[in-house]
Amino acid sequence: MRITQRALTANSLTGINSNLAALTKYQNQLSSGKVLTKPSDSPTDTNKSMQTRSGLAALDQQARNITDATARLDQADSALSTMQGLLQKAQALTTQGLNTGANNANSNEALAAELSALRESMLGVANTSVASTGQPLFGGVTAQAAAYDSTGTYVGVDGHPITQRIGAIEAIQVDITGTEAFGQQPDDLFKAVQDIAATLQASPVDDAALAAGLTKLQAAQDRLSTMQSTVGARSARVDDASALTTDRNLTLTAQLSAIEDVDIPRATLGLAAQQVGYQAALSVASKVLQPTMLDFLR
Amino acid sequence: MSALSSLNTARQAMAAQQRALDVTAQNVANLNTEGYSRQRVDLQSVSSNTVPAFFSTSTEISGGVSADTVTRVRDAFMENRALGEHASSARLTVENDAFTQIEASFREPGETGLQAITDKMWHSFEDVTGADDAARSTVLQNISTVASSLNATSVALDEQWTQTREDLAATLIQANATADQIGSLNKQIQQATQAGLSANELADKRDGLVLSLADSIGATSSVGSDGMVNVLVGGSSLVSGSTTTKLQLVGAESLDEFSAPGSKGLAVQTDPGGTKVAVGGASGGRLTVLTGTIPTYQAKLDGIAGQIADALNGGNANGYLSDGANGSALLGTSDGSATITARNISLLSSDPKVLAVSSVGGAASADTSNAKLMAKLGDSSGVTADYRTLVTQLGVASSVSAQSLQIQTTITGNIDTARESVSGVSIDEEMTQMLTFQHGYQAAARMVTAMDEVLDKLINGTGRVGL
Repeated sequence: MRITQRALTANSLTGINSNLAALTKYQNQLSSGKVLTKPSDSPTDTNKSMQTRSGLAALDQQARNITDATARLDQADSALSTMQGLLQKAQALTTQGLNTGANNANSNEALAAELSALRESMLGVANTSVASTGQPLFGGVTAQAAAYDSTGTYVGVDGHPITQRIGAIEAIQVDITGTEAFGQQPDDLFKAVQDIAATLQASPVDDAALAAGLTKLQAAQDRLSTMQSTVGARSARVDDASALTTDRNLTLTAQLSAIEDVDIPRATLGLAAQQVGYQAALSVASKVLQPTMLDFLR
Repeated sequence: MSALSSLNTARQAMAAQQRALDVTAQNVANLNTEGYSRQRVDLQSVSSNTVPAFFSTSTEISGGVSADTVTRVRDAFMENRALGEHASSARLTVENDAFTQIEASFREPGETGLQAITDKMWHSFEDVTGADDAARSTVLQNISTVASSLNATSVALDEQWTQTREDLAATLIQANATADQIGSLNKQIQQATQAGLSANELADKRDGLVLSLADSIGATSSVGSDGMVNVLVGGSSLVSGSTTTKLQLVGAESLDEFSAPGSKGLAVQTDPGGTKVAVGGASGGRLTVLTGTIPTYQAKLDGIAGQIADALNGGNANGYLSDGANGSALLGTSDGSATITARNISLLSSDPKVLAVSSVGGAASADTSNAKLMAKLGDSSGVTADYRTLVTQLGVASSVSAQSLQIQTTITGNIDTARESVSGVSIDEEMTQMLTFQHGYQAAARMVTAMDEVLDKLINGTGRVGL
């Protein structure tokens, strides 16, 4: 093949350009920190990257769901504990009322008043609202502002559990309805306390009715305890899910980084090798393009 | 045989060597001229008279040397192949550029891509846990962001289409001008050839123009009479001798017009004549991008927009508003059209009340179980997977196009090197030629001196014996 000066120049230029292009590739990778910036860089990796990004977005949402679930369950737990305390006080007052020998009509009246006040407090606790949304905590999906109205009638709506997704497919119920926690109306905890107060106001006091009231309070306490352990169990599940989500988040982040981020030692080595190639191309070009026969003609 | 004939032969030799030196000078002068083909003098010895004359025979030695023809050194087959390879290179470059631009419009993979935005939108439904308006407003805001992201990508594709169409029209105008130039050069070459003049430089210039036509519209050439060439594009004649045919772009003015049912399409035609021409080169690439690549991805994006709208509207219609009424469509069109496309998709109302997150109908409720269902619509309707497939397909198509371009660039480079090795000027070679012809000239000049001495002896020395 006949080689001309122009061919030499063109070849050198092509070589130098391709070296420079490779150098730019490494420079881009190292300066941006990414090997995957557009789908054509690697269609397979793009698919993986998009899946991983979807997974991470879902995990972010799960983490938010878990925060919400934890807040609701914690709030329910503390409301139920408060309710337990009030209930124990009601039991104590009722027992005191049963203790007929020590009581006269006046003291029974006082007990009744205290019980009525307790019932108000209990209703107040039962009408606790969720901090994040302002919905009644024990009202199910009611559109009302409270679970119990001023007369103590349950206005919550049961049958539509409020759930939060805490895993890829795992959803957990995060609400406790008034019915579940405080009993089915009309025979619920508040009615029982009200009845006891009414019994104590009557004279003479019907001991049998008081004893029956006490039994009802006991049943209410059992129900509360059951609900507290239900809430505890749910909280434990949410905690587990939270730990899982954190783990999964770490795994996916590492995966995404492996797909998209530059392997720095490899890119640095590649850059160094390419630099050597580039310098060689430049040096060869300067040596080859220089001499012609002109240098040797007188 | 005259005593002066040797002088004449030497004179011819000096003239021939000088002509050869002139050509060498021309070659050296055009060492770096783009498209210049090196030239050679065809030196031919002139034979003696071989026809016996009546009553006389000639004892002539020979008639000297002639240097009449100067030829261009070039390989016609290689030149034709170069036209084809240059056309392919130009076509692939345009197609690859288009893919790069489409990829940029999709902004994947990343935080600003449609996937990240839609994922965020679907997930935000799970934040709706009660009757509060804040979370609902966020959801609607996210839906609106998805719609405007689809709008932005669609507009980018539209703009790319319009830009490419303008480029194509401009390329054709330029190609028409180039064809005219080739026609007039053909005419000059014909006149020069018929007058027996050298038209090598004109031919070089014309061949350079033919090569640029190969780049821009995929032209090929065939040899005509009197040194002219005929230029063909996709089988139709563009330049025949000195007559040229014009090309023009006819059809849709915008992507909407092109994609509309019953559209006129887009084609390159002869003007006048209206015959459809299958152009190649950069124009062929642009035509492919205009009629295939961009409309395909626009249609796919429209499909994704439709799927998202169907999923959201269906999901919302299945649910109930906070007051228990049925939900209605969330997404519609901004231009009043019946079909939802990526271009016109828009949120119908930003009132948080329109979000039908409840599954309890007929009565006011703070239920949000429909929101939980809608949060899963991205996966259950398959739109997330379909979009991922779309982006992956785009990536594959783009990387295949980049690889083809890389291969074609190497092939075109090799052909150009091969052409250069035939037609290019080599300094070493020209210097050697220069020395050769210089020596030839010196030798011929020495002949003249020798003959001068001989004649001097004859004229001044004869009859002077003993003086």
